[in-house]
Amino acid sequence: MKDTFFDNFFSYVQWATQKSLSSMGEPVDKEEWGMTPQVIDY
Amino acid sequence: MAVSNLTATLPFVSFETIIENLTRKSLPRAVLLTSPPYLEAVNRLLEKTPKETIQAYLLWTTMRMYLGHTSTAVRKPWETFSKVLGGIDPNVKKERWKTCVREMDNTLGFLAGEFYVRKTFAGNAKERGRLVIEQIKDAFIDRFEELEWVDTETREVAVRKVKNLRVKVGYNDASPNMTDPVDLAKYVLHTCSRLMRTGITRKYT
Repeated sequence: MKDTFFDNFFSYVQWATQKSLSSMGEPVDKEEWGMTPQVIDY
Repeated sequence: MAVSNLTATLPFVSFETIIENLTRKSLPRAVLLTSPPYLEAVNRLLEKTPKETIQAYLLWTTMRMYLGHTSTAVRKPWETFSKVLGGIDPNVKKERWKTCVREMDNTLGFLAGEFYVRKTFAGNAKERGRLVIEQIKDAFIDRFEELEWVDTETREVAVRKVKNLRVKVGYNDASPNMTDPVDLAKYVLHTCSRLMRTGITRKYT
């Protein structure tokens, strides 16, 4: 892994994509959060 | 509908191949198609569009996703372009801190969020918040008993629905438990080990 902002972001995208793809066919995780605590919806 | 029916609706795209290659799992038994006419229209458009154009569009879509994370010189033309497209003065500069905060939120938002909540709402605020919501749920259920215009059948369904509500206050302590390093590691590494297995990382590192 290279030490740049771009590569760091790219690793995140890979991680998030794999996470999303691996949920296919699995039971719904109802304890998962869809929004971070610091985000407010009025 | 079955995935094969999806491909029948949009024959230009082989959904079977895409899903199997991306997930390394067997196909889902059913997929939801919310707008069949849209996919049919997309298929007609793809059929009459030159392959070069489609390829360029895919490249453009990928670039758009990553341009924001490139160096100032590389992303400058893109920023100017999108500002002009959006009717914004190209000279207007977005404050850098806004970009940084958004970046943090998008990538490490849940991790940062736990620390934010702990710092901002000290003590047992999380537990108090949870109790307040549980009390609101109880009050809601009590009210249903009093409402004459709700029939028994509806009431039972409504009560069940209230009981099914998940209370999420402060930060996640279930999936994953943000306060448990082992649980957190499992949450992060599960996907990492999958990455290694499918070999996607090897190509880029």
